[in-house]
Formats: sequence, structure tokens, C-alpha cells
Amino acid sequence: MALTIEINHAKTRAKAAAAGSAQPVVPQAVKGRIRRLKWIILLLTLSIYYVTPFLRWDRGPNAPDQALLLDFVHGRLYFFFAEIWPQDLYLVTGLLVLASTILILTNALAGRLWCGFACPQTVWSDLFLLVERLIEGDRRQRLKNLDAPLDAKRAMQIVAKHSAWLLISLATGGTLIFYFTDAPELLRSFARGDVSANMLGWIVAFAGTTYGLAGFAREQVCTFMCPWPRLQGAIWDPEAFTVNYRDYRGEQRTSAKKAAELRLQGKPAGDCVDCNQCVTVCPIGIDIREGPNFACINCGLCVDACDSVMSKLGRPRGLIDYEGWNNIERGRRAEPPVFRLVRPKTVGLTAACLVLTAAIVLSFMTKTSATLSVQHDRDPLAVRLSDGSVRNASNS
Amino acid sequence: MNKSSATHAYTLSVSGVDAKMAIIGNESLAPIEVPAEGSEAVRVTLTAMSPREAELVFTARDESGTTILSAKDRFVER
Ligand code: SF4
Ligand code: SF4
Repeated sequence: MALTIEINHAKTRAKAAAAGSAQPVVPQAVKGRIRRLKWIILLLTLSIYYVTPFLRWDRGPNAPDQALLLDFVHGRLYFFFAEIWPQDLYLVTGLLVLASTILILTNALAGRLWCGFACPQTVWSDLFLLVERLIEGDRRQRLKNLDAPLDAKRAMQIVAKHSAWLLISLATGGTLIFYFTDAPELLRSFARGDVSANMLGWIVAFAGTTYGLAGFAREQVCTFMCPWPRLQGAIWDPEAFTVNYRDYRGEQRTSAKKAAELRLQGKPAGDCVDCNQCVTVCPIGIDIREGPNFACINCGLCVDACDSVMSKLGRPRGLIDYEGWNNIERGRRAEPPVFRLVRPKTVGLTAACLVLTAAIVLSFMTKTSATLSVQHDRDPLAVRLSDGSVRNASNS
Repeated sequence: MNKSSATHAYTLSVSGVDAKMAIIGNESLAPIEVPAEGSEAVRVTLTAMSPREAELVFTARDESGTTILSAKDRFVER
């Protein structure tokens, strides 16, 4: 297949790096159906993260009743009904391989969907941005703040923002510790002020990571630190529903007023009014109108931004949309879109996921709660007794 | 090795060879108690009057009979 798309990732990186040094990405708030969905997923994922260590699961006497517990001291991983011993770690490996395969399948169907909606980096960055917006205002105000002198009001804002970020980070770091020990008991120790230096060290390390990654590194993680965008060059799929700009509809860009005049004269006019809303809401700082970008996390916020502009202008929504790149090219040739969810790659990956799932379930079902091993004596292997009989000995 | 959180007693038997099995220190071949999340090692001898090389299977059954464990070995003449 002729790949007609030009994805110059090096150029993107250079541009992002240059932009990064000149001006940080300061995303603007946006409203819309995708933003609402993202809020719901954010609430759901954060609730799962903070609540899970407190879920109980009765395993009978002499066993911990924490539903999810990574007990490193005793070498056990408890997950609801499952109990994994070190020798069962192949099951965890299997699950990790399955998760990677599902991620690749998702990528083949809808690009970096995981990145845009459920990745912890996105979720916590979104939360930190929400705090930033509530305290410092939306994009315009925050951009002004960049060059504003440090007066009392600004100093208060900075202190409030970083205090809130630190509180969230500490809660995040603290919660992570709960996964490794009995959570309610540890919470009671916290209340008594009885925290070991080791525990405190881990909490500070995890809190510091959250604070640094969600408060400062943000889009840099999704573009430069994470291996997933690096892999996009190999696994990017032109049939996948990635966020794209329908340039055949949007170009030539012109102002809303000029476009209306041109249309009145029966002349063609692009739908894009060059308002830059799609760029200002982007948490990565991408202009998706330049074409597909490996750094795009497929979050769809630019879709919401452009849809609201189109609605206000009385133009059809979907100038930016989840659309396969092949369909953008078909659109340019005025051909109807073709949706090919079922294709060799997706069928193969789905089959791999099913086989892996079946293998993991089967291994788990046939796993016993005990093991028996036999070590035959090496020297001597056998002993001939005086009555002519032969004796073998072993340790069981 | 008992990976469950309760103590279990396992009865050891062997098949595949015509030999008398003995567990040192447990002449009556009574079930072997293995504590919760613990292991137990026993020394086993197999004595054959008319010895021949054979594949054999050790089997350990818990008291309920639901957990059946097995391990392979080989009976050798010399
Ligand atoms: S270009 Fe659009 S979909 Fe991609 S990261 Fe930016 S806002 Fe999200
Ligand atoms: S939001 Fe839509 S109309 Fe505005 S610049 Fe982006 S693509 Fe053009």
C-alpha cells in the first residue's frame, strides 16, 4: 500500500522542543461530549485507584483479606480470588503480554486511544490542570501570568496551586503504598503518626514522581519519555480511527465573514476559520491541521473545540474528527469513506488476544494449591540388598 | 508444598512399579501433614523383589481427594 502520508516526526520533535523552550503548552478549557467522557473516565480511574486497596476479600483464616495485595514480604500476589506465588509468575507475564496485545489492537482500531483517555499520565495531568485552572484561571490568564510580576496575589496563587498539587501527589504516593500492605492497618498507623522511615521514603518518592510528571513534565512524557509514540512509526495504521483534520473540507482557510461572502457568490470556501481553538485546547500543543502526528494522544479535545466553533457558525460538525487517514485521502478525491474494522491485522490481533486469554484461563484453572516434587538419590542410584531385592531412595 | 492458607494432610502412593514403598519414620504410611503455606519433606524408599527399570509416578492426595498431585521418577536397577 502506498503510504501517501508524510509523518516527519523529527520535525515535530524539533518544533515541540523549540516551542517548549519558547513557551510552555498552556491548554485552554474546552466543553463538549468528548471532554465529558474524559471527565467520567478520569473520575472512574481515580476512584478505582484510590478505593481498590480498601476492598476486602474473604480468603479464610491465616490469609490477608485485602482484595488486591502485592505481598513482597511473603512473595504473594493476591487478586480477589486469585493467589499468585513466585512460581506462578508466568501467569502475570501472560497477563502483561495480553495487555500489550490489547494495546496494539486498540492502536490498530483507534490509534493512541489509551494515551488520550486512560493512561495515568493523562489522567493525573488532567487533574493537575483542573487545579491549575481553578486557581489561576484559563489559558489567557495563565499566559499573562508567565510574564506577570510576583505580587502578593500571584504569590498566593502559586502557593495554593503547589500546595494542592502536593496534597494530590502525597495522596497518590500514599495510596500506592496501600497496595503493598494491609491498607486499613497502615491508615491507622498513619493516624497514630507511626510511619517508618522506609515507608516515608517510598511515599516521598512516589509523591515526587506524581508531582514532577503531572505538574511539570506533562506532555513531554507523552511525546519524549514514553516509548509508545516511538513505536507509532512501526504500528501506525492509516485505517485506524485517529483524530484527523478533514482538510478537503477545511481548506482554503478564511475568516467566517469572508467565507460567508464567498458562499453567497457561489464560490467555494473552506470551513476552517483559522480560529486556532483546536491548537489552544491541545494538551500536547499540536496543530492537527498540519497532518497526523505521532505525538497526538487521540484525546479528541480538538474535536470538541472545533465542533463548538462549527456549531456557532452553523456549519456541519466534524471538521476535525475520529477518522482514518485513508478516508481523509478518499475525501480529497471526493470518494465516500470506507470503514474497514475487519482486516488481516485486526483479525490476527483479536485472535492472538483470544488465544492468550484462553491459555491464561486454562493455566489458572489447572493450577493446583499444592505441588509435589521428587528428588531421586544420586549416589548411589540403587542399592542391591542381601536378599537380591533392589532399593531406590528419594526425597519427596 | 502446600500453597493454601489451611493445613492439609496428603497420602502418598506410588504406581508403575511392583515395589514396596516405605516412608522413613512413618511405617504406617499415615497421611503427611503439611502446614499452611509450608512444605514438608519425607524420605521414601522403594524396594522391588524382582527389579526392572520402570517409569513411576508418585501421587499425593489431600484428605478431601480433590487435590491430586503427581511427580514422575524412574526406578533403576543399579
Ligand atoms: S491534536 Fe487533538 S487529539 Fe491530538 S493530542 Fe491534541 S487535542 Fe488531543
Ligand atoms: S478549531 Fe476548527 S475552525 Fe478553528 S482553526 Fe481549528 S480546525 Fe479551524
